[in-house]
Amino acid sequence: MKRPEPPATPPESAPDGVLEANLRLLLTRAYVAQRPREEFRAALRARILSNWERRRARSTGRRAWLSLAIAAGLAILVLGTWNRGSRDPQDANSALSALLDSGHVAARHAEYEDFRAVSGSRTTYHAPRLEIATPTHLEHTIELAADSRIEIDPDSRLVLSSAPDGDTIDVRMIRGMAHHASDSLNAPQHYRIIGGRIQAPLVSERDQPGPAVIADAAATQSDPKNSASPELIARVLVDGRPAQRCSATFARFSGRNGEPSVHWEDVDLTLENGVCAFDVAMAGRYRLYVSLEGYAVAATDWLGLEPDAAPREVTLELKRGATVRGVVRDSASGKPIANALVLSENETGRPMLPCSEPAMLGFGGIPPRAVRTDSDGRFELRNVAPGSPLIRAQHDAYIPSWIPLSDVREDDLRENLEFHLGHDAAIDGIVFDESGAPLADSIVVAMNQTLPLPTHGQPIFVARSGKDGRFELPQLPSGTFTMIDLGTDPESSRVDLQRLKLISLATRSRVHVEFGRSAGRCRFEGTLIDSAGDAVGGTIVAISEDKGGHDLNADWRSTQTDENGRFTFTDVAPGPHVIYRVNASGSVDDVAHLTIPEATTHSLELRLSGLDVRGRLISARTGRTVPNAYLVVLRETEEREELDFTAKGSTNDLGEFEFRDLLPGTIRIGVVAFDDVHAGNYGDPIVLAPGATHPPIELLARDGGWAKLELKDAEGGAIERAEIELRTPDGVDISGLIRQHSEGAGRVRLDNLPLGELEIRVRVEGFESRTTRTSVEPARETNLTLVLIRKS
Amino acid sequence: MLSNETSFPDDLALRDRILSGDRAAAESLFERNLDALYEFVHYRLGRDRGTVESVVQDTLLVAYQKLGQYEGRSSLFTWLCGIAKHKVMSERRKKRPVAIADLLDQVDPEIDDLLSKVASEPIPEHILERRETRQLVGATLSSLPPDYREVLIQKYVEERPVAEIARKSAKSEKATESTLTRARTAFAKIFELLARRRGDLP
Repeated sequence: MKRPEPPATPPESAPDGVLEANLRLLLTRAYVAQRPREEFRAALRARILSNWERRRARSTGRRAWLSLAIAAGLAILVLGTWNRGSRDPQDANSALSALLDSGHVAARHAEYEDFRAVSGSRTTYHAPRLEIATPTHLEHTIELAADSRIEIDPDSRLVLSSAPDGDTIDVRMIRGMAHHASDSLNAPQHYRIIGGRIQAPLVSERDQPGPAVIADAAATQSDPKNSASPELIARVLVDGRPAQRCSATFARFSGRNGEPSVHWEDVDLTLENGVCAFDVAMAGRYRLYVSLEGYAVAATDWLGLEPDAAPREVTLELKRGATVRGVVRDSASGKPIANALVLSENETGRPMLPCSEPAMLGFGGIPPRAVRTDSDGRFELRNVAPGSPLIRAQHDAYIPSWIPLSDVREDDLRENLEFHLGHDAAIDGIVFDESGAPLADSIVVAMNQTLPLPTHGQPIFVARSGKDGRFELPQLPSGTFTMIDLGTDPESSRVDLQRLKLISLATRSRVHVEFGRSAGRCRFEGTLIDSAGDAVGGTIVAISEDKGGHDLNADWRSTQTDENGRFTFTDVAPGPHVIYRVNASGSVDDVAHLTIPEATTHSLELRLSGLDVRGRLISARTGRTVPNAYLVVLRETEEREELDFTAKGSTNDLGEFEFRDLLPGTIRIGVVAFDDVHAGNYGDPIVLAPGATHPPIELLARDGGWAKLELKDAEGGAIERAEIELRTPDGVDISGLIRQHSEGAGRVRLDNLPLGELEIRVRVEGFESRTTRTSVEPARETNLTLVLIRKS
Repeated sequence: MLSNETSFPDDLALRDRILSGDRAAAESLFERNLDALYEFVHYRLGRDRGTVESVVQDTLLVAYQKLGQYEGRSSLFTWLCGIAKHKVMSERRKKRPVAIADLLDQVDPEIDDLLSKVASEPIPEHILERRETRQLVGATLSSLPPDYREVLIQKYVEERPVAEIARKSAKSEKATESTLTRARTAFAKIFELLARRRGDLP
């Protein structure tokens, strides 16, 4: 994207009124206070002051505050990593929500910074986007109090208000929108809640306490400064014996000012004779989840812990769980969906687990026990907790689905679960004829340009406008669509490319499109020439209002250059615009930024550079080409380390990409997303010299390498439950970043390892620890067998 | 440093009171600086609340421990920020390189060009609630001396009249107006500077 021209002549003296007005706008509209949490403030205050007192007392021989310091220190340890939302109701950026417990609907900010209950009180939430998710209930339509309504107003503010009796709620669930291209997506005006049930009526006054759950939460508040810390003693048994170590998640349910929320903390426990004590710092309702590889998750009920009470003791027994197998299919085509995520709900301790993978990042990432479907859509979920587990299947291009199981017992095998996932995005609109009247029977076609996976079904969707000119294309997958209005008789009339639009559609979103409405009074005539000065014919060019940023705008209009490279846009609204060229590969380059004056005909010659880069994207994991990956071109600058965005595009079905007419300089091609997950790596620098041609390149899509580790004792017996520590050559411990999967029989798979040298240290109780080095390479699996020697 | 003051007698007095064992003074240092310090760290480390809290906590623990080394050559807040900066840099070193998506989020020269004219041209409506704008406003406020930051927030966010701000800070209205003017100018200068630096603008 081109840099803006520097201001011609900066004003000598700034008018105070402008600064005053800008300050007022910036501090009311753009300022987001980042305040410390109340618990943090209180605990830190106690710790700082008690530390200070202790040092002072030490110097004067007094020890009065020592015990308080220790207590506060414990409190801060417990509080330190809890991810708690801001309590400030005025905080415009904390437009978010979370409400666990008993089937409440929850919404949270798309930036994952904060969350807040939706159903507790009437609040206007200010946020560019909201994500609405549900915990674990199954209803696919929502039952609401008759006078309740949730709306997103045109400024993307979520408003809870009253509605006429019997009005059904229409709240559209926005998932974590596709990758970082989400900026280009317009927040829909209405939201539908999928799954879940609002049990609490939405009350009509701001910050008025809501239903019983709120009161319950409020009753658990305590003052961390003055309360003795309640204690929980957990005894964990494995196969009837005391556990030596396990992972645990400690969830706390709390609330204040009618805003219930759940905080959680993940800990790895080393147990003494199977017992661990938790000093939980403040009163509240707690739930403890414990897990161990090869066993089902065990959890307590919600426990009310009070200060000054006797320690609460619980026993959790880890047992082998059930195995659940099944398949995930596209509900429309019946085809299997590969790479879908399948998990058992309620095993994480999170207040809610969002139904999109990007959103999960804000909730501790993808649950370690989740599995993915293979290319046949099949999955196997092991160690599912006995009882009535709820199995969820999800894929970011579909609506998630749940299947409840009952009477599941230890070591059960449940097979043939069949999930059918559907789409729910839609485009609607209206077609006008040249006179501005609604046009009936016009054929509207939507072609999906960016199907992220080949299983997403039909790529072309067709609708015909009704008598009022309106049309609707329901049940679409997400992605970028080229839309064209073919008119009432497409076979006999020439297709009018002025009636072509590009639409970005998020899963479960609805976009409104209008064809043929007069947009303004201007006419823009351009000529596209290549670097040699020859006309570029047959190329699609697009015009869009320049709204800043580099994202697609929904108001794009396109046309095609004639043999002389000429193109015309009529009825262009006056103002700033960007002219783009749409390449055959689907990539888009900006060619010019211009301001079109009112009521004129505007002419411009646009010259292209002729510097093209093309190649193939190869998966570092499989060695195969990667279709439908999202790529960007970034330009290196001399002045700083960061890279400038230049163009974006995607690979085609063959994994090929092409960027044309790039400006001279040094570029890198970044792989932003592929296989429907973030990648975030970029290739080697490519120097584009003026007039030079560049051979095709092979770009690696890396999501890291992986290794398989087999652990044996001297007799060849498999060793289980090893503690594996991973370090980079410069000594950085990356163990916490790497997913480790036990594959049984002493085999462990390590995913997403950084490429290059890696130090692996293995510790197992009763054996001498062992350290080895290996080299992780792309597109190749690293296999290691380590023999451990028993301690004498 | 935008303030014209070359010594900080109030801060030195506060230091002396804390060192002499005045608990109220120790509390005052904490209460006066926590919010601003938190913002300062937040806008340099990002969204990871746990890391921000950890850095703020370490900064304050060190500050109380080393308070005797504060010599009044800058404000106490600036001194705190100096400690925090080292810890922020240390945290950054632990992190992975910035992802492309983050880079794209941060770079938008058009927006930065518009924002860099904060003192001279009205900011267009459509970029007010952009993430890039929010980041810049937060970063600017977190770089201001706490009294400047406080007076701007009271005036524009909390919409308090100058008389009330003056009463609250135990200053005259004239002095408060003067602080407000200096704060506005400082805001504009830092805001412009950051926008130009981020957008790589001339």
